[in-house]
Amino acid sequence: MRVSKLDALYAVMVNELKIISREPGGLVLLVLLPYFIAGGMAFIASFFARVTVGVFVRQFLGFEVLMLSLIMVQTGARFLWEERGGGRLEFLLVSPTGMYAILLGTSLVMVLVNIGAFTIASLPILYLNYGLVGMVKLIIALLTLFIGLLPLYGIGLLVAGIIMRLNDADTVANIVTPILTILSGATYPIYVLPWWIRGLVYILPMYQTFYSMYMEITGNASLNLVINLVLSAIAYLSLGVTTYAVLERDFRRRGT
Amino acid sequence: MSIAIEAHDLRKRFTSYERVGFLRRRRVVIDALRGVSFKIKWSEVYGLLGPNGAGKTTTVKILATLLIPDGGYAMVNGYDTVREAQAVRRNIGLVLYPDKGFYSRLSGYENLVYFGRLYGLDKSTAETRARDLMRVVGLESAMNRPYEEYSLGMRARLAIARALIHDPPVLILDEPTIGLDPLSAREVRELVSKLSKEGRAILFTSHNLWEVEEVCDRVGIINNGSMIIEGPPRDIKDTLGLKYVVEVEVMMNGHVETLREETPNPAHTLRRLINDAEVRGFNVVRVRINEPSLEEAFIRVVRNEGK
Repeated sequence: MRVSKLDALYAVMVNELKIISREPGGLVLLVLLPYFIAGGMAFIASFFARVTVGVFVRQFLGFEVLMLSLIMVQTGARFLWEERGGGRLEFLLVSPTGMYAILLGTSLVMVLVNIGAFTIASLPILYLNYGLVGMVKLIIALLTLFIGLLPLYGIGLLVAGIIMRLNDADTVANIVTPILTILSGATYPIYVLPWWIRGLVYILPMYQTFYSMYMEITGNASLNLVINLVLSAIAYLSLGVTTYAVLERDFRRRGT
Repeated sequence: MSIAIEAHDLRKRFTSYERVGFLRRRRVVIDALRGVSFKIKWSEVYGLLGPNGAGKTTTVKILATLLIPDGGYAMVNGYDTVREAQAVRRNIGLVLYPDKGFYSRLSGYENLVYFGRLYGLDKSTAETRARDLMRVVGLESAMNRPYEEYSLGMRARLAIARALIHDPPVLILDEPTIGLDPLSAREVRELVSKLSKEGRAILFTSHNLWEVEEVCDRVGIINNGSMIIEGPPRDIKDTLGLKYVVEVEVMMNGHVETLREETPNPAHTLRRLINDAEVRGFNVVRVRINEPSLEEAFIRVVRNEGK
């Protein structure tokens, strides 16, 4: 019986979860590591709490989005590289399930685990500062976050395509990681950056995502920000899907 | 439709680069396929033979939609491998590397279920099918063992099970017995014969020529990207004028002598040799007819091609 792409996506996620959990200590890392990271991020963000609580929350959200960005952009690309080395890529390419679903499913496992950890870590902070309303707003902010993951997935497809083209994962990852970190808007105050880097920060989806979440939680939600995020999702997804399709076709033409 | 696979005038050129200094490199163009054509009928096992670098794997990858040809076309079950790649993928089962291509930490069964789901099966169908196939390929007792603990023979059998997980009508097996011990290789060959009897069309590549002769109904020999000769193994040997060797052992003055003759007509030669021996009063001890092998045909074709 034929089933939907959604079912195949679920199968990819379950498979990825199995593989991660069977690495030595994998399950422990999968469950606990995100909490340590969230705790570390909260600790760093707490330095800003000396200024205001709002700055702390913004910083905490910024780190969360940065971390999810790195996962979303790099996991699919690294997965592709590992599949190629293990002789599995050909079998994924000849399966009727598209690589888009496979790459998304692979990234989503780590994304969901991390969102879970960050959400749990955020709850007491938000409750203490904004009360129950803050917690309800967190749910809406998480929906915004899911919209924000779509353009990041688009960028992830672009990176995956580049890795296929260049036959190199490490160099690409080493270039992408610092760029994402600087341009996330979470590691440096934006106003200290040169105007052209500031422009890039505004164009890329990381800052848009965490700023929308921050505005939602602090009660200053703006429809314009969400519309911007949706437009960004459409633009980056189109770019990612088109570029990946071209580069995968090129891969099939070159054969290596 | 009686044709399951059709390759027509397939052409493929690869570009690679050779280092000629610290930074400089030279572009090298390799013509992997120079117009390969063949057809495979339903229920037929077709052997594709050729030395290393002849173009076998390139042909296999084009048929499996992994490569786009530069010229010509290929059809699988009536679907074009470039324009209707998704339909082709649903119709083929592929074995590319018998020793890898699975997730090492998952069991053989889990691997099969996963690939079944990627091939569009729902969970329960994939599980049932995986269980059945583990039995068919003789891995039932090892189905829950991690793939990394499988021997080479077990891996090769699992690779065939994966190719069958979505019950495709066409199988493309690229050297499925490479590196296997004789017993495992024989089991794979028996399985291939059984699958073709079920009506499937099978493309089979191998370096083991007697194996191809045993399994395949028809054979194509390619070299330097071109099809040199094609047909049933017997016809190929006839076309090349390969001769049988007839040996008659006779008792001559108390010791055994062998009368040996190469001939295209072994029955006639055998009768004549036995007659001669009897006329001369010798007792015939044993007779033997050695059929020319596909290996001889292959070597002759490839050598002639090189001249």
